[in-house]
Amino acid sequence: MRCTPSLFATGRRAAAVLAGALAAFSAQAQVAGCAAVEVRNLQPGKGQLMLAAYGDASSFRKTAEVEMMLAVTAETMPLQVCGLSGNAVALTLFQDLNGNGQLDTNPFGIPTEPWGASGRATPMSAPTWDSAQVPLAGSPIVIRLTK
Amino acid sequence: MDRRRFLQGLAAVGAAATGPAFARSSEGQAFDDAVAASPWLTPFKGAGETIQDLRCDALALSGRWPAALRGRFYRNGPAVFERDGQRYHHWFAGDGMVQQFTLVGGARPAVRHVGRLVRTPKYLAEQQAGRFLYPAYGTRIASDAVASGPDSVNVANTNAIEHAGRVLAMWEGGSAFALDPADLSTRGPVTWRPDLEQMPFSAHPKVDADGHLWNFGSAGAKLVVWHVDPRGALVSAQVGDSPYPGGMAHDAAITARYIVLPLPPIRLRFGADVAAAFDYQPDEPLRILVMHKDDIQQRRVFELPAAMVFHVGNAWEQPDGSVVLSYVASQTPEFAVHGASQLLAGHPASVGGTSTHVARLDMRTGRASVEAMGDEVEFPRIHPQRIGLPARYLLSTASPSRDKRGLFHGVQLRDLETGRVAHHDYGRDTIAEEHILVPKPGASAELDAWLLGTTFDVRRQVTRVNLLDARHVGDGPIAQATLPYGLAYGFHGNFTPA
Repeated sequence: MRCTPSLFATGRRAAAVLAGALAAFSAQAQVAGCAAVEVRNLQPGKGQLMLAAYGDASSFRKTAEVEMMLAVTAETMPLQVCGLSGNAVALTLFQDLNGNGQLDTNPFGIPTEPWGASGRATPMSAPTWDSAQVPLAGSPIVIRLTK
Repeated sequence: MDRRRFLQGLAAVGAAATGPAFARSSEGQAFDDAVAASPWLTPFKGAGETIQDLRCDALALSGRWPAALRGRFYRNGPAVFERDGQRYHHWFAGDGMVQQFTLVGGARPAVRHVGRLVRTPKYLAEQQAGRFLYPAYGTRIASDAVASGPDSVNVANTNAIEHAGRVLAMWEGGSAFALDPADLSTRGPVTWRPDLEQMPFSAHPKVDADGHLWNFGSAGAKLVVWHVDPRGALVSAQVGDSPYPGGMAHDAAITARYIVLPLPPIRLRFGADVAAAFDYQPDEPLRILVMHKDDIQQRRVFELPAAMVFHVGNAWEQPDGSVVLSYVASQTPEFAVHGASQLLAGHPASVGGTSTHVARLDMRTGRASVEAMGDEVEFPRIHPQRIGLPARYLLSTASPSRDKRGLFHGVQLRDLETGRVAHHDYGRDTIAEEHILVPKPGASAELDAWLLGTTFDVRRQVTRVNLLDARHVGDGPIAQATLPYGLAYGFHGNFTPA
C-alpha cells in the first residue's frame, strides 16, 4: 500500500500534526503491519523529514510501500510507520533542508543533505536491500541521519 | 643533538599527550617485536593514540644553510595506525599528519618544526571513542558508525601544499582539508561550491607557473577535473566518465593544453581487508587518458601494456603535437597489494621494482611508445616552475640496490636528454623519503635549485631535513637539520617560499 498522494500535498501544517500523532503512537504497543522507528540527528525547523519504506529487494529504492513527509520538531523523533506487509522492511530517510522535495546530491551521487537508512552503515556506497533490511517486529528501528 | 634540545622535544610530545593509554594487541606486539629486530620500521609504529602534535623550535643544524632559503616545507603521511589494540593492515590507512618545517634563512638560519594530525571528522570521532569506528584502506573495521559519504572516512594523509593562503591536506577519495599555515590547525573540508560537497579531490594537484591549480578526482565510473585560480577560487569542475570505471587513479600530469591521467588496471574495494581489497587485471592495458583542460569530453585514451602506476613526473607537449609523459611504473601491483601491508605488519618482504618510464603519446594517431629506464625509484618530482612544460631533469628517491624492503636509501637526478644520472646514497642506516626541487631565488635554470627532503636516521631514530645542490647531487647534503624525534614515514610534500 502506498501512502496517499494527499499526504505530500498537505504541506507543513498537516505534516506537523501527523508527526505529533505518530509520536503519541510510538508509546503504544506494536501494531501489526507497523514498524516502530526512532530517527536521530534531526535538525529541528529545517525542512521536512522524508521517509520511504520498502518491502523487498526488487522494489528497493524503486517503489515504496509507504512514503511519509514529516515536519522536524525535535532532534530525535519516534515514529510509527504503518501499512507494511511482510516480515522485513528497509527504510531510507533524508531531511529535505531546502524543501525541494528531493535528496540533493553532488555530481557523483553523494548526498549533500542529511540522510540515513535502516540496517548496516554503507559509508562508501548507497544502501542496498541487504544492508538496509531489518525485521519488522521487535525493538524500535533506530536510524541516525548523517550530519 | 644536545641533551637540552632532546628534552625539549620530549616535553613537546608529553604536553600533547591527552589520549588514553595505549593497549597492546597481538598485531601490535608482533610489530613491536619486529621493530626490535629492524629498527628502520619504527616510523610505521605511528603516533599512536597519545601523540597528537609535535613541535620543535630549533632543529640541530649542520652544514651551511643558505641565507636565501626561506619558506615552509610541508609533508604529509599516515601517522595513526593503532587504536585500542587494533592495528591497521595497510600503510595507506593511517590518519594524516602534516609536518611543517619553517626555514628561517637570513644571517642566522634556523629550522622550526610543527607536526599536527589533521582533525578530520573521522580522527575526532575515533579519538573521542578511543577506537577505530570507520572502514579504512585495506582494513575492515566492524562498526555501525554513521557515515555520510567519503569524507566520513577521509584521512587526509597523502600530500600537503600551501595554495592561496591555506594548506591543503589531501587524500584521494574525498575533500581536501584546509589547515592554517600559521599553526596547522584544521579549518575543515574544502567545499569548492555547495553542490560539490564531498567530491573527490585527489592528492596530486599540479600548480602551473602562474599559480593555477589543476587536479582530478575519480570514483566509480565518474571523473572530475578541477581548476582553481591563484587566489583559491574555483574556476571550473568538469564532470565526465572514466574509460576504466572503478579504477584506482592516483596522480595526473598537466601540459599547456591537457590533463594526462594514467589509469592502471587495478580496482580498490575500500574498507575490505587487504587480501580482498585489490583487483588487478593484468590482461587489461595501462590506459593513459589525455583530456583537454577546457573540455574534458575531448579526449584520447592511449593503451600501454599492463603496469601499475602511482606517480607521474611531468608531461609536456612537443612541437609536433605529441605529448611526453614521465612516470614511475612497476610490472606488478606488488607494493600496493602486499608490500605496503607487510611493512605495517612488521614483516617486510621483497617487492617488485618500480622504475622511471617515459611515454610518447601521438595525439593525431593515438599511438604510444614507452621507454623503461630500469632503475629503482619512486616519488618522481621536477622543478616546480616547469610543471607542464618541457623539463629535462627528473628527481626521484632511489637505491642502487633496494634492499628488497620497499623503501629507499638515496636520491637520483636523471637527465632525460642524456640519460645521465646523478646519485646520492645516504647509506644503509638511512631511509630516504621524497625529495623535492626548490628553485634558488632569482634563478630559473632547472639546476639552479636545491634538493630538499627528509630522511630517517635508523641508528639515532630521528628524522632529518636535508638540503643538496642540484648541480652537485653526488656531493650529498650541503646542510642538514635534525629533529630530536622521529616522524612517521610520509608520502609527499611541497615548499612555499617566504
